[in-house]
Amino acid sequence: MLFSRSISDDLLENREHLQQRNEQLAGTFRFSHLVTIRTDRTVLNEAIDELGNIRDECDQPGWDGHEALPVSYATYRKAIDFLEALPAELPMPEIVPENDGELAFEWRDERGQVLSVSLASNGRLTVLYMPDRMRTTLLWSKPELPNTLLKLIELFA
Amino acid sequence: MPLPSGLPDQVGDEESVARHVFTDRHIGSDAKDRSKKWAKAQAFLPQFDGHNWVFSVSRTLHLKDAEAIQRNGRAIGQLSGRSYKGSALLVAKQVRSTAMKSGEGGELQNLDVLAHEAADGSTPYHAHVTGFLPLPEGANMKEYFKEASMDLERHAKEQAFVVQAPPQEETGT
Repeated sequence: MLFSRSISDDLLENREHLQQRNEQLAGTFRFSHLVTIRTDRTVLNEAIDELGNIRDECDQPGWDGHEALPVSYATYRKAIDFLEALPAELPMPEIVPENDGELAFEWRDERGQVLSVSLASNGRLTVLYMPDRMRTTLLWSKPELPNTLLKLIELFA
Repeated sequence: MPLPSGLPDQVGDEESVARHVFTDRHIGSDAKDRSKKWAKAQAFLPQFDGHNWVFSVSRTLHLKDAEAIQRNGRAIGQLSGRSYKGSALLVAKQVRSTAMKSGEGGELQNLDVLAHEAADGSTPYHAHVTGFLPLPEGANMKEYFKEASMDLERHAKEQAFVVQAPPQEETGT
C-alpha cells in the first residue's frame, strides 16, 4: 500500500489550531436538549447490523474496486460507539465506507441539506455541512458526541 | 499528438469521462423512486498514487452509448476481478469548474482531467482527475476533499448515471 495514513492524520500534529477553531464553533452552536436514554434499541441495532455488513465487505484493501484502504476493526468499534452515543431523538445516519478506511455518517433531506461526518479510528471527526459549506474537524474522545455536531444533526430531526 | 488509444492527448472541455463504480456502497438511490440512482461523493474521493492525489476515470469519446460505457466498465472490472455496478459521468468542464476552496470560500485550485495512458497501450482511455492540492499549512485535507467530492457528486447528478445492465445471454446462430 502506497499510503497507509488516513487523509486527515496530519491534523493530529496541529491540535492547538483545532482547539481554537472548535472553541469558536462551540460559541455558535449550543446543544439545547437534555440527552435522553434510548429505551427502544431496534433502530440502533439495525444500524449496528448494517455496520457489521460494511465491515465484512470492506475489511480488505481495494474493497471499492480501486485502491481503498480497509476499514479497520478499531474504526468499526469506534463507529459503534458513535451510533450508541447518538441521542435517541436524533435520526440515525446512513453509513458509507470511504477509500481511506474511514466511515462516513450521513444525513440528507429533500431540501438538499447534507451533513457528512467521517470517523477515523482515533476518534477524529471530519465534518462537512452542505449547502452552507461549513466544515470542521473535531477530536472526539468523551462518551458524549460534541455539542457542535449534535446541533448540526438536530437540523435533520 | 495522439495517445496509444488514438485519442488526443488533451481532454477537451466538452468530453465526458466515466467514473466506474464497483461497490453498491457508493451508489445512492431515491427513496421514492429506487430506479433513480447516482454516485455518492465517496466515489469521487481521491487517493494518493505515490505522487499526487487523484482518482481514475475513463474517457468516453470512443464510447457511443450507455451500453458501450457499461462494456468498458465491465471489462475494467474483469481485469482485476471486480464486479461492475455502474458509472457516473462528468463533463470535463464540470470537473474544471470544481475548486478546492479555502475556509472563506476562496478558490485555492481548480481540479483538472488529464489523460493518463501507459505508453505500451495497456491502459487505453485512462485519465486522472487531479488538482487536489495545494492546501494551507496545517489543514485537514479530508475536509477539502470531502467538499470537492460533494461538488462532483452534484455535477454528476446533472448527467445520467449508467447502471449496470444484466449480461445478455449469448444467442449463437
